Amino acid sequence: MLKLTEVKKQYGEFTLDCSLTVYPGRVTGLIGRNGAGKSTTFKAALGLISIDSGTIEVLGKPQTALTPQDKEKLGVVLSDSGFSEYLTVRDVAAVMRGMYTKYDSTKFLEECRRFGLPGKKKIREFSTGMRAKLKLIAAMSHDARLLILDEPTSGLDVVARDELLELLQEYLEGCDDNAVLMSSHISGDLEKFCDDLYLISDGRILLHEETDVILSRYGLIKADEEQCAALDKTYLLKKKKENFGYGLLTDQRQFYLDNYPGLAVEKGSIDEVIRMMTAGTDI
Amino acid sequence: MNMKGLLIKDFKLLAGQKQYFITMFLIAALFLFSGQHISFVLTYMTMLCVFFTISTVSYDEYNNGYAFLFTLPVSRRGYVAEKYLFGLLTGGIGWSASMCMALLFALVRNPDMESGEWITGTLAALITAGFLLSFTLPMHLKFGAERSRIISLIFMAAVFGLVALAVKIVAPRLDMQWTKAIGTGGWIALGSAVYIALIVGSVLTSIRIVEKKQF
Repeated sequence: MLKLTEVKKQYGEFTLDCSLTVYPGRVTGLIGRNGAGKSTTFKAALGLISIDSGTIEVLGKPQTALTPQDKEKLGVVLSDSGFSEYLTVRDVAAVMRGMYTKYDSTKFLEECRRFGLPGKKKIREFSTGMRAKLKLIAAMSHDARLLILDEPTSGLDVVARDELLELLQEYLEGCDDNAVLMSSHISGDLEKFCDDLYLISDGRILLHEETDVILSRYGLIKADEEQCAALDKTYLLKKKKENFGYGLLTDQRQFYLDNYPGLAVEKGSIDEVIRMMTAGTDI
Repeated sequence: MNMKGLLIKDFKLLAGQKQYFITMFLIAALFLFSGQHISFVLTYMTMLCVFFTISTVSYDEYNNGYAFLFTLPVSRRGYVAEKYLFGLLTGGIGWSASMCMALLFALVRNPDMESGEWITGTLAALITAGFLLSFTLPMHLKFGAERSRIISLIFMAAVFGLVALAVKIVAPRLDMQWTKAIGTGGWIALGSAVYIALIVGSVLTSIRIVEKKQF
């Protein structure tokens, strides 16, 4: 569905150097801190910025060869851009009808009503949450095969986020071959939805792993100096100095639970993995 | 299909400015009935409609709107083509509306208006609108609303300066007999060729600008 191979882009001091693949039927998450390169990756994938080297394939075609007809199969949410604020929901419906052959206007307007988006009000009068809802509903209204969602739940309260994630779930259940690439700063959203995760930091992919694997096999070991020195380092990925000694990230939690009784080994979480992979040092 | 979506977007934005258009129309009527020359009113209306085309570029770029716009099934080339087409349509609407108004005026107030006046008015409006669109659209696409205004002024001043220089200093020293030899037909053909070249050049420049843009 989407394949970025050794994509490089230089922006002054910042360098993006990224490879990632999104397969049909899967939801892939891109996680990282602010400024890590998530939005740059999305923009490169969408052809909004030129790349210095590497290749990008979208729906089996080079990104640069995508036609407007191909782009009809993409549903996109960008965190910092959307429909003109001077349009209303009804206007957006009319524009989409003119753009997409498979656009379902009735469903779009129904979903807008369901999520409390007034049809005649200009978007500039919408709250941040309402704008986020509109973007996601629009992205899912034209039978897209690949959704590219940059921070789709940004600015939403917990209830609205759950409602929108429910909508996304319905979309995913609609077709087995649909795929999604999404980023979010809320790890709970990614835990719930993503089959696999890419962790990006300073423009580079630091980790690619199945979400289930992170949640079931990864762990955070809390050890003092002495315990740390005695540990088998084979399955340790990163180390970080803490006030109690060291925090150690492992991808084989069970190994340390079995072989080091009494050692504090916590279950892995996406937040911990991000923290350790970006702030920790190599073993 | 996709250009249709862009046109709908721009016409929806235009509909949001209906009060501006009504005011514009009333002012034009006032001009006409207060004795202004028909070519002035036609040019005024057509130009204002073209200005609106330019302003839709500002709407598109506002709040980083281009980034999302180009994720829709729209090519960059298609976007530029739509802007010129929209300019043609709005200019055409403005021109038609003012023409109807002028006809009505002619029937009521001045039934003896000469056909020459109509032709001059029509040509003046079309030429001015074409020049305006050809010049300001690529400038706006390249530099955005604020900077393009300043750069346009500098550019226009430079062009006028060069023309003045050519007319006052260079032309009197040249043998200008050939200008008479060309004749009226020749001048019209030459003018049309320059006009078409300008529009084609403007479209190609705009495409190049938008294709190079990074969002």
